[in-house]
Amino acid sequence: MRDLSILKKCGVVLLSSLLILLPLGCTTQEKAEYQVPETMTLIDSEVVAQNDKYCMRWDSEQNCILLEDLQSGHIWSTLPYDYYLEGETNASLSSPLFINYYDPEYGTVDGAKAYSACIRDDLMSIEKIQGGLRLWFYFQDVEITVPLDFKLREDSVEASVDASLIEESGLTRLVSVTVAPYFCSTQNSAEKDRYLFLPVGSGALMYTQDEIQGISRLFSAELYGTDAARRQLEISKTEEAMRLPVFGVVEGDQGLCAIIEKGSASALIEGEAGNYRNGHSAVYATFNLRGYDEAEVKQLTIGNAVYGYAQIYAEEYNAEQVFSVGYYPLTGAEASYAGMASVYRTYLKKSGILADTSVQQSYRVNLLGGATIKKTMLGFPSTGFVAATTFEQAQTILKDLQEALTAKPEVMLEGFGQTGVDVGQIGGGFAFASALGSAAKQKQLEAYCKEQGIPLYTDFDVVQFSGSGNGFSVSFDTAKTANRQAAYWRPDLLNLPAKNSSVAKIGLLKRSLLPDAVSKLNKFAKDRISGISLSTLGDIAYSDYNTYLYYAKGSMAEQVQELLTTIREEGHPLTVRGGNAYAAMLASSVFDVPLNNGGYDLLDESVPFYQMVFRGHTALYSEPINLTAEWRETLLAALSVGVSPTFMLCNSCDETLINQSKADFYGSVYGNNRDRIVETVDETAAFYDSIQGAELVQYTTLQSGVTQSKFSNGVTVTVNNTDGTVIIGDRSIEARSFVTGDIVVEEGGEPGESEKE
Amino acid sequence: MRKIKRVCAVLLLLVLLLSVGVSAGSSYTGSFTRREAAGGTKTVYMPDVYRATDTVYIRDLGLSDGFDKIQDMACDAVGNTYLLVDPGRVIVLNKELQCDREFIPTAADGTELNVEGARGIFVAYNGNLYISDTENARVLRCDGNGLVLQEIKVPESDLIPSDFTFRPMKVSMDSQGYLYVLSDGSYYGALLYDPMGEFSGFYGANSVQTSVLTTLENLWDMLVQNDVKRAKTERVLPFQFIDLFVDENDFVYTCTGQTSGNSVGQLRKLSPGGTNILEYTSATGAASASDSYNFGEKQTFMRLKKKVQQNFTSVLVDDRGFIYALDRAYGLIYVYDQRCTLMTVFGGGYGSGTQQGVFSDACAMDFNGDKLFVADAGRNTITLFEMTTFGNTLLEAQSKTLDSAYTDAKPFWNEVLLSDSGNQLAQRGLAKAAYVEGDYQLALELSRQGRDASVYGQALGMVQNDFIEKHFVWLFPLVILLVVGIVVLMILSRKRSIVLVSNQKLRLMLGCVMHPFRNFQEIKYKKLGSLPLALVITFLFFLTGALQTTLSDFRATSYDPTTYNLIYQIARTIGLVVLWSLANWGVSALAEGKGKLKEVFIVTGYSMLPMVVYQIISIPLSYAIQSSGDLVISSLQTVAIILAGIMLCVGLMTIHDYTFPRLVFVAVLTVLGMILVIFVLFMVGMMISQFWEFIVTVFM
Repeated sequence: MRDLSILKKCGVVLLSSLLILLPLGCTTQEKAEYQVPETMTLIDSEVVAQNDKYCMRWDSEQNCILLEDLQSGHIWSTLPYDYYLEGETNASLSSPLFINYYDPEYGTVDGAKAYSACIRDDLMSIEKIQGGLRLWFYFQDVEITVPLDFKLREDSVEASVDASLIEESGLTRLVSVTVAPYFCSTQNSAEKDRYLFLPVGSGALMYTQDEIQGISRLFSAELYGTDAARRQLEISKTEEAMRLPVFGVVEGDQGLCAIIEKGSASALIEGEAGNYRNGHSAVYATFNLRGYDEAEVKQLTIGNAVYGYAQIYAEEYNAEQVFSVGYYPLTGAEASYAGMASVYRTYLKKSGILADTSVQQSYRVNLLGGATIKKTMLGFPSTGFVAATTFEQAQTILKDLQEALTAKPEVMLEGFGQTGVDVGQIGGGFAFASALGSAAKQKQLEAYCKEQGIPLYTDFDVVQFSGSGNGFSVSFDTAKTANRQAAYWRPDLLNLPAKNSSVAKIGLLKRSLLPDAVSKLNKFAKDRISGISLSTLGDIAYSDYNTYLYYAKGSMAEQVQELLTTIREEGHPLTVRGGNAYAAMLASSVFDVPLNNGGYDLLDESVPFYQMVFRGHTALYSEPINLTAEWRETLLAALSVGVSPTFMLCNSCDETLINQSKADFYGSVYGNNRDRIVETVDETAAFYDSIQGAELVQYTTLQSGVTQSKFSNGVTVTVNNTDGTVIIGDRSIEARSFVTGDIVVEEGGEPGESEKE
Repeated sequence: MRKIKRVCAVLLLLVLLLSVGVSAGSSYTGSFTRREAAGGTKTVYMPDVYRATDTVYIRDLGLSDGFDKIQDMACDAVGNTYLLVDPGRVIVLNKELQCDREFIPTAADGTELNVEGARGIFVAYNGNLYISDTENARVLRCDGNGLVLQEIKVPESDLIPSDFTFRPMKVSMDSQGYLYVLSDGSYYGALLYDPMGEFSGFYGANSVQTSVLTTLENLWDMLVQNDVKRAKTERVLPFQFIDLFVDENDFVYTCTGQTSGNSVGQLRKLSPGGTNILEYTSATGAASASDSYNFGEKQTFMRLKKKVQQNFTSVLVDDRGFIYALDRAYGLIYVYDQRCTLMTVFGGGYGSGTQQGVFSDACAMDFNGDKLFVADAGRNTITLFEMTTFGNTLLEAQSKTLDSAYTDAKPFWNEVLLSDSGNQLAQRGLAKAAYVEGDYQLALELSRQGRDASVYGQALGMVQNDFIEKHFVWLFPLVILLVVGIVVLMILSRKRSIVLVSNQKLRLMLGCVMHPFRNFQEIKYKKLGSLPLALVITFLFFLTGALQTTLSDFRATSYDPTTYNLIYQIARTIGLVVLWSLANWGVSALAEGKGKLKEVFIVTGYSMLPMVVYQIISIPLSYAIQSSGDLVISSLQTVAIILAGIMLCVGLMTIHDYTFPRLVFVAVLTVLGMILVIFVLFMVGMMISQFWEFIVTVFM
């Protein structure tokens, strides 16, 4: 009888769960009434704000904001100034705001431009606010209202959108807003003194020529990389992420640098070069208000089922955020990407978040601990751990290097947690794999490094996990996608863009639990570990639709900065991989620093913008050069921008590690690399010493493969990264080598001759 | 009740835990190769052999007119690159990759010829250009400026079938001036023209892949079909060649594009007679025609629910004889040696690449000096690949190894290992070098790492010979002593009636091997069979099977820890015994069998004893044999199977009181019963799976 009652209770619970859950799937959002003010408040053309340097005006004829540099007289405008002078209007150029919205009825995403949807139909009102203007755009057709503020500041103009003031009736849903798309723009030109700057990888330029009929190039990417909590269906190769919230435009001796000051993690930076329709090239920020997930969906067709990609947008957005971009005019010699780097560095210094000057060692050694492998015991499958470098062996390697070299390395222990280089529990279980040696050996290694003055970091992954433990459950503590599904993923097969189903699924930790993970890390590291490496926290930006604050990657920068600060406060120096701006500025060093722009078709040139911002403040280390195809070439590419080389090493590499496709092990055996490391460091250490603490201030390509870099302490290095000897000025530089010291390069003429060996 | 509670709890959990999903993924980067490992080949990372150094955007060349896309590309000996673009135009780039000239082929009278839809361009050694004007059914021979010197049309010959449509798409020429023309839709092979321009016949067609099943199918069709039906049957035709290349020795290499089913034989090397002489040499040293070798990936991937199949569209051979094959669908470039050993794979993009080094629609490739140019029709680019230092060392080492210059190759292989410590080709190359230098122990170790069964076996033989020679003085007497000892022990035990095994049931079980009739009768009539012993033997059957799979020498097992399936191992041992016992008991109950389920299980379990013994012996034996195809292990296995079969037959005849014909009849029914049980289990499994999907669908 009692059993029956339990059965009944279970039945009731099940039924009630069904009743609660089922309607959730078919709810329709209520539609609020959308109202547009009967009369629009407008103002006449007038000076809105002015200071010693700049004057901000509103033009009621052309409905645009004009920013005049009082010293140079140059005017930047939300409507490109040359076009403004012509007195013409254009749907794109005359729009200070673009929006994208989702139409739930048709399941489509469409765009609307402020000029054609609002200004032309008198659906814009203007309100004066402190130091500037607020423009209200009423997109009546789609029932969305967006305010856009412009404020003049001492050295810049800020354009911002306050999400709390956005109104939507529910007819459509606002997906993204593009702020002042043509403020950072220039007329198309074949001249190379006009370009757009985008922070892709180390930095990228897009030239603005439009000779090619019918082709305008639009490059668009999410800042800090694609949302890791989103399923990606079209993958071709690892993306090179945008790491810094800076973009800009240069036209001759004038330039405009834009810094995304708020909401950077939700931003995309888009560059459109050579638009032949309106004759302009522009770079701008678009802010994602709502995030999305991707899915393959069946399309309505007659006959065979046809599938297509669809974006599934989140229903809600975080209304507590503000998106803002600061525009900093540049003139004269400052009008270049180097000038932008300087502006951004100054901005970071003013904000007080740029790390103090760190010591950059001549080289870095990443030591691989081990990995998990699948094996069997008496026919029963199990998981084992293969040690590639024990603590003792690590110490032996470092001792050997110390004996052979005077320069000291920066050292990182990677894959020393319970599952080695494989993703396991959060923070590698906050324990070392027992196969790597005892706690005493680990302490010995720490003590040795301290005694020798070698900065030692131990790497922890507090973002990804595939096993439950330490209070984090893969089932319950995984972030959610915009589609309200757990953000699990599996790595691709090595040879195909298909999921490797033989490995455990990997989850991204709930964003709200990141502080908990970091606190556990601090506890574990206390009195045990000196430096902490966070290879994923500084590199992966992701959304979590468990908490509205974290929708569309929201607050990623702020949250990580807060977490890194707590680690620093515990007295641990930090190193991060790749180095998204928010992490790099707080870290003592960054490794796997991008050295190029990722080789995207749409980008024209790679520039060392990243290095210009951080060199001299944060120690910069390259990707492991011993794993690259051409060791020497990568070394010189890093050296030319003041980045020290990294070597990925292990003591030994078991056959099973290679058979089970553990990527980094194949070329990392110390014995195989030792002599070349010694040779390389011997050759370059003096140069790195000479630029200790110096900023990279100038970088010039003298000819293809030959570059010259100048550092703030006056050191100049000329690198010949070609297969032939080149003669620059009065100096001959051998193939694949570098020389330091000034070389006079004649201006205007051919910078040098080259001679193929 | 507990069960009900559990079920309820599980259902509740299902309701609450339906947030399963997928998200962000990483992606492919870098070069890879395949490695012989436990359980077959593994795809592994390797340092780049080629790397992309530059991308030429055709849009940036300042062309006089727009164009649609690149159709084909060819490079000449002096560094010019010829691009055939849609619609029907040729763009010539000079050595500096600047646009040198553009032209539309013109006739002698100056009129421009319409070559829209042309699909191939080829530069002969004499500088003449051959344009495959597909849609106009002709091949145009032009000079370097597009002046047409000759029009090659469909030959008038009895050899040309009446339904033949001439749609030339690729052309190549050998050093003697023989011209090979591939025609779209032609499964007869290439059209061969002699240096005088006369048609010489068809050359080297693909053949239809046949199997036992297709042969039987054809036979069946011949027997049962009438003429009407036969006329309506689809003919299976060989796949057509997509590209061809003539190397400096005038060997013709061909590639076949998309093939159905298991793609094999995509690359061929044709003899002057037109037969395929490209052979695949396996790690055991066995050679077989490349027709049955898959040059691409084993797996495919899905895009928008459709399988994306590989499509080899371009083939090249370098000065050292390495074969390059371009897969248009995945954007991958494969480099093989003359024995079909994969050297490396690079490129990628899988139809959506937008970065340097990957492709969205790689359509053609050619060597330009020491660089490899790859044209991308999707992005209208040419990507320049340069061989890396590592790549050069690797190919040089393999080249020397293939030429049997093992010692010369040694420093190169050592250099390779510095950058790629797990490089299997290096391990194999060094193993061969060690073997020819007489360092057999090193050869043994290296060939084991390199999974080179052939060298391993030879080295093992030499090591064993060395050992025997060295220790013969005490080894020989020891063996004699051992044999004599055993004989003496047997004689003594018989004379003095020494009982080695005191437990009667155990003794009976062990004796079943030698005296099955007697012992099984005792089991039946004296009830001396032991269920626990049968269970132990069954468990040992599983355990020794698992140990045999996991512990045997690499030449004797295909064990792979990453894919090893314990359930499968249990099913094929314990499951088989249990299933047989159940089915046999069930069937024999209907066929007047007298045996009980317990007795059937005991007989079946005891019968596995020879298999257990074989599986134990085979483990150490696998390390001792010299050749992977050694007869000792396979003979032992055959003996064990026969013994087990005899024991099973005798045992079942005894317990069921069957005659042999009746036993055979019941055995057949038993097998059918087993299939039925498996089918039912399968159906139940399917139903559970569908029910699960239903629940997921409802709650998602």
